[in-house]
Amino acid sequence: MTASRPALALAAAAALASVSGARAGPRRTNGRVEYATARRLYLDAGGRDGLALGATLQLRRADRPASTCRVDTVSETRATCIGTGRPGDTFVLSPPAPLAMPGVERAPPPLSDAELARRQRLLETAAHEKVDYHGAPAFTVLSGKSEVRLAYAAWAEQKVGPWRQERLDVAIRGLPLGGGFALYADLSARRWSQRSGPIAARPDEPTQLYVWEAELARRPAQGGLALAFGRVRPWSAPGSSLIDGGQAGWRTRSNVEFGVFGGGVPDPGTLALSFERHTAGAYLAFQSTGEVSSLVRYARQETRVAYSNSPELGRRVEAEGLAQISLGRMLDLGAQARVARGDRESADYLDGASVDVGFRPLDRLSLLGGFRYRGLSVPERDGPGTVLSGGAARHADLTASWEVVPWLTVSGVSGLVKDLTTGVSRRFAGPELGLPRLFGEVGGASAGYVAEDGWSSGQTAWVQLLTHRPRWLQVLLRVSWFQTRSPGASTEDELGAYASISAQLGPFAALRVSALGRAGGLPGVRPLGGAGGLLGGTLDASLAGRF
Amino acid sequence: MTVALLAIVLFAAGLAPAAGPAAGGQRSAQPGTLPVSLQAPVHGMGDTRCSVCHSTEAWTKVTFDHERTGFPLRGRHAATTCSSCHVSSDFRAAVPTSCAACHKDVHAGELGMRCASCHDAESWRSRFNADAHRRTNFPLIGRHALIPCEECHLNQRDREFTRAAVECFTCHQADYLRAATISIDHLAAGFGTGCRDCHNPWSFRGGRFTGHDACFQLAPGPHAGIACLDCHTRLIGFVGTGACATNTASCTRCHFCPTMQQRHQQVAGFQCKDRKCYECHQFTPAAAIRPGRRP
Repeated sequence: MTASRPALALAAAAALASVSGARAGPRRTNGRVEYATARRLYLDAGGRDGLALGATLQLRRADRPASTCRVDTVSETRATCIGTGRPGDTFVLSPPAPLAMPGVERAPPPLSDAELARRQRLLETAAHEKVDYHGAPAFTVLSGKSEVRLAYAAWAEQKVGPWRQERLDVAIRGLPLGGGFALYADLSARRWSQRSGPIAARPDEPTQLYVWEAELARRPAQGGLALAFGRVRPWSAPGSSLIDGGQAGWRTRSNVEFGVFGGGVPDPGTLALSFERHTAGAYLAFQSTGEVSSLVRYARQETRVAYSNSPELGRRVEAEGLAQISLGRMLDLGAQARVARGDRESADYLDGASVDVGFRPLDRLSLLGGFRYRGLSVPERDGPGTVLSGGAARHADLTASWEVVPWLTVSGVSGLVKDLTTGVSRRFAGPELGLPRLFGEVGGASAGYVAEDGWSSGQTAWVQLLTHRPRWLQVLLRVSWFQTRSPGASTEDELGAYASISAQLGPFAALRVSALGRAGGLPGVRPLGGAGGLLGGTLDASLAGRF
Repeated sequence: MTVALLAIVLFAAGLAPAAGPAAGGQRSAQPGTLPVSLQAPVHGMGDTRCSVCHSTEAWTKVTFDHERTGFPLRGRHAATTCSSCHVSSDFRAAVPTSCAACHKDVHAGELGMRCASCHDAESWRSRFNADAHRRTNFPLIGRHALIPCEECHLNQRDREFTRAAVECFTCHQADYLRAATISIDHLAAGFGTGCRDCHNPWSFRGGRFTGHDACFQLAPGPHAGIACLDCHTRLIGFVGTGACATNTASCTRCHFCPTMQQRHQQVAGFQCKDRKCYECHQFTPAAAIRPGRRP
């Protein structure tokens, strides 16, 4: 490429020269009137031929002087002249005045190679500070790391009074406070303005405050001491509960982190500060990102070993591991397992395990599946009954999706859930058709059907529309039909509708409104079928601001 | 299976691949951003055409078609700064598309790694609703779809959605006992705890008592869905013996005697008494009243 540059330059110069020559041609000595009106003459010569604005021309006819005219407009090749004359009259062209050329300053001869090398060395060794770009000053509070959301939610049904809740959610995700420390917070203040019927969750407390996170943390990305204290959800410690205490670890430059954590565990229902439950343990975490072309593009693993004590489960020693790996663009694998031994009698020491798989053998074909086993059952004591406890269970699901053409996607969903304590189970499977570009760039539609089997068997069908134009507005509409078979072999039909609108009102504000409606009825009564039919719905509206 | 799961734990504990040279780091763990002087030169490789992405207006106003990377920036990702994900500012290094690579998992890994099952890029607020609950072991039918989540998922602390028991009775035990004061003492009547055998998930009223059809048909016909106390004067203290003799059924509450007497003028021996009605009348599944047996 470098060798061919001079040749290209020469060719370009030759081409320019030829064009220039063609334009110049043999110099003209006479011009001619091409057209004449009563006062104006149109000439076949212009500025390139030496005509100048205001010049007086002597017109000749049959080789004798005829009249004069004054040039009033000039283009490069044409001109007009004020005066009288006839087409065919000629005039003499004077040579154009030479342009004043600026004096050419000769460049100094190039520096010698030795001098260039000396200057390069000087530049390389010179100490100079790079300048950071600082844009327009912004309010430091507008860091985008804080979010405040005002929300209103309502649940209502015919014949049963509504539930209404007003809520304020605050999330702060790493607001720098200096010294490498940042503030993290996640809390929600809720007010139940109305509740109806039997109430399971905190029936005597219409005003509730939940604090999931309120910690000061220092987690240097380049490695070093990692610290967090306050109400902490320990990072990189899988399966760990919230603690009112601290976490301390050391992080290496190669993304290995290890450390300890410990503290009281808040009440599970109210999140109130309590040291009745407590835990302490150690963790080891690792994360790696490979090159684009490498086989292992991402790997993550986390391990936790902890001692815990709670009224529900007694004293226990737990070990939990989590691993995730992405192999090329084809396979994502994830696995998690927890084992425990406690002072309470238990036949099984496996608390839970899960496997997630994402497989994309082709760009347009993907398989997503998972298996989950939960052996630990934690009693929840403030329910409407005495104890709510799910018991051991397992869940498996598989979804296959094939993008036949860019505007058509065919999917199949399936799943199996089984409660191992009671033996109650459900299975479901069905197809889904997606037309993501049915409305072009505006959005698309999908429809699906699922057949269900098990203790609550039935079938479901739905149609859904999703739009995402304009970009700041996303609308989802879904209409569903549910049919459930009762133990008495009769069926119960329900109609459902769901609408969700998300609007980004600006860089800092977002609005989201979603509503769900259901229509059903007493046995033997069709939805929306008049007497015996029942209607209900929920509404959730929130206005969120980011600061 | 247990051995296999133990193997998973061991794998998680120490058998991972070695760290790559361009380890991206735990982005979520980054409390602040690097000074520009440390970021910028890494992707300025000499032959970089800065104007492809940057303008002279500001370094921070960057335009780049991210869809070409296979990870289109949708929702909140569109407003995120480049360095939030490309920590090293070396845009040639791979950036994992796994959510957990950038985001802290508030579920502590207990709900798996497929965040998109419940969340989208618009907001961390879950899209999981009553419709999606149909793919669990407890489909939200009737009123169950119309109550707040925390009425069943009482554990607010761990955000793991601890599973409430599937069986109705574990939540509705109080309702089972409360029935003794407002309708039938379920316990004394010997009713089981399988609520769905009789009740609809929309309302406890209008229960289907299949045993009732042996004495008086309810399931088909115009009396389907009728409340117990619409016919029975009282049921407190009722004990089901199968003898069809509660002596509390009151047909004449709705079927007034003057009207009935007028309609039955041609029926010999007609008496406007509650028990007499169902000695004659039966109801077809098509809900039409047909003349019953004549004594």
